[in-house]
Amino acid sequence: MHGPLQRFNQGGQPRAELDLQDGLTVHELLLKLGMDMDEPWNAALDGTLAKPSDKVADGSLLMVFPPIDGG
Amino acid sequence: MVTGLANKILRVDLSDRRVWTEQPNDLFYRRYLGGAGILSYYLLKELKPRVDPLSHENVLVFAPGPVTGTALPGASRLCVGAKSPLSGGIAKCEAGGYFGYELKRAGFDALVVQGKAGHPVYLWIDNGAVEIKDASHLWGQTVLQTQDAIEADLGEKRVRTATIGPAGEKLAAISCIMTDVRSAAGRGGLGAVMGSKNLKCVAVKGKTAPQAAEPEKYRDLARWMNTNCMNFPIAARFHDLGTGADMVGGNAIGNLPVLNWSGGQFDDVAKIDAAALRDSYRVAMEACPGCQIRCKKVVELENESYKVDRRNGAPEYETLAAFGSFMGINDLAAICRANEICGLNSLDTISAGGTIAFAMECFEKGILTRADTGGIELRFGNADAMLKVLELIARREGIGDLLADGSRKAARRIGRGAEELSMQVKGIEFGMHDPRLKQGLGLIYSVAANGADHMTGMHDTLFTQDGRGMEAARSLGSLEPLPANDLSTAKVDRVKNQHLSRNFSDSMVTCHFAPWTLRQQVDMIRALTGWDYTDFEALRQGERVATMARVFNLREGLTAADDQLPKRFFAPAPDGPLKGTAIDPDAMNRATQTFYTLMGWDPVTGIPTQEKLEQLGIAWAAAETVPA
Ligand code: SF4
Repeated sequence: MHGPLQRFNQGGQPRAELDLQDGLTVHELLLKLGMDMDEPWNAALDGTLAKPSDKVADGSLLMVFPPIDGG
Repeated sequence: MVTGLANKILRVDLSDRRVWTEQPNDLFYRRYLGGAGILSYYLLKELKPRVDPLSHENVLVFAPGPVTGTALPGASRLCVGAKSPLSGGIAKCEAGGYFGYELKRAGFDALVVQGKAGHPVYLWIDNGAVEIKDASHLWGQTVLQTQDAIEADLGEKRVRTATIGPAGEKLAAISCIMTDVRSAAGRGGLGAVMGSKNLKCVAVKGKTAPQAAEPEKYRDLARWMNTNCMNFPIAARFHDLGTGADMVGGNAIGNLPVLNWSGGQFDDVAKIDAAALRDSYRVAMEACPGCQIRCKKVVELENESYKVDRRNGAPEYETLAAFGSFMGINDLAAICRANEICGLNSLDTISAGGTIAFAMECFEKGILTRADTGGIELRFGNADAMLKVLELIARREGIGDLLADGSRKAARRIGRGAEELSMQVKGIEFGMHDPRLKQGLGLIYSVAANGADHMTGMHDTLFTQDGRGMEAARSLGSLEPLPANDLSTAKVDRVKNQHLSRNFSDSMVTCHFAPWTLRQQVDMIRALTGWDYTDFEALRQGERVATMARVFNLREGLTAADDQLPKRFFAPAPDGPLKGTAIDPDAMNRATQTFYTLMGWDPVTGIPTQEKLEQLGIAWAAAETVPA
């Protein structure tokens, strides 16, 4: 978890390993972590932009971070 | 007279050293508002078609917005524009600092400069009094040296300036205008336009604060932002780190450009992002007037191989990427130094970075050799070579002379397949966001009048899932999340509406990082002027600005054929998160035609219809739409 979203990851950890039930989606996983789903976020699931409905497979790497625009 | 505005435009003709003011009527202000609106009006009205952008016939406009100069956070910016020597169409961009704020407080809604001085001059605007002063002794000086010299000349401190360095004087088409030393009106070669007029600097002091029609309502808006801005995660993030805060994430999904758009992912991203900067060379965060977000980084390097003076600011995201991942460079000190060289010499960091990355790829492919570079091993990843070439560009020496006019012109001169490697639209190098990921932004890169500029486009990844992030889309009638690579009519409609909203903001010249909604910006105008301004008028203003810019480009000979992304984006990405991803050319063509249609432009030629021009109150521009 990156930036302000890190606070939702198990007491503010930048990374964590989780044991998950099969078939969990990105959206469900973030809810499980207690993330405020109202906050703007993007996620990379195993190296590509994830949709909320994408399934998180065993051994997957999920990165969550605020969207980036101008600058 | 419109309450809250200066009701005066300052005109300067440098050829005959004439200074005068105009006092437009209320309808003019309601129709063109400020910033990009007033600027587009003057360029269309006063520039003869097809003039040489580097001749005395070009017109350079500095236009703050209606709210600039007031005590609102995020309202201190100004818009600068002219005919672009880089694209041949319109150049229009926004700059921060205090310059626009004080120009307004000096009593002017805009400054329009025409003609060419017989020798180097600078303008001194002191609370309404205007002088054209000799700048022969400043010619050849850097932006920072010029600032110090002008303050010494005038015996004043904290003079606000819009200045060019040596690159602008040498008419580099990728040069910019620096405001208050460290901010830039970056895109389109405006520094060269200023240089071609022998105008080294505009210096200003302004003390008269505009008075709002409804001061209490106006103060409420400022109070609201100051109380609430940190509740917006993106503003809070910028407060901590500034731009470049989430490059690691951008790299993970393929937004970060790598090796002139030929690579996939940059393994060293964490060495060059804003967090790395905080942990190494950052010494302060600064703010534009009245803004608590304070997102402007300041760096200082001492005892390093490269030294950087804190007065020259710090690299923003675009610069970190342009001189970092885009060239395969992981040396943050070198990137800070590149940012400083650009600032001191008035070079646009995006186009300078884009052009050097292009030259590096030419070198890697053997299209350029050491014979062309003067012995410089101009390979990806070579930070020393990058800095050497940057200095040469600023002085227009050796390979630098070839590159000083951007990658498109350089590619045409080089030939031998170099054109395929020139990554730009209308001659303007890309903002550092991958259009294969953000395909709606890719559409705007294609069709926007000012080329591949990331600021007037919508960033698709903001609106890919539900939540607060969707609010800006919903308020413009686009209710559901859409995939980043979608190019459906619904997406094009969203892209178009966001483009209009941004063009409206560019007329207000409010900061895109301060989380003002469209409605709040409308409330600002209502409280400032007393007009019964509406959201509808705001979007219509955005449409007017985008359409005037379109008309300007058509008049200058650009056509729908110029609304085209480079071929590289239509071939599968070779590597990284976007591996195998390509933009579908048919989908992009359809999206382009849909965009034209939704804008009220001809679906094939992109020429605005007579009805659209009449609807926008700019029927006078009709004669300008048919290319000669
Ligand atoms: S958000 Fe940053 S760039 Fe915008 S006005 Fe505030 S300090 Fe300036």
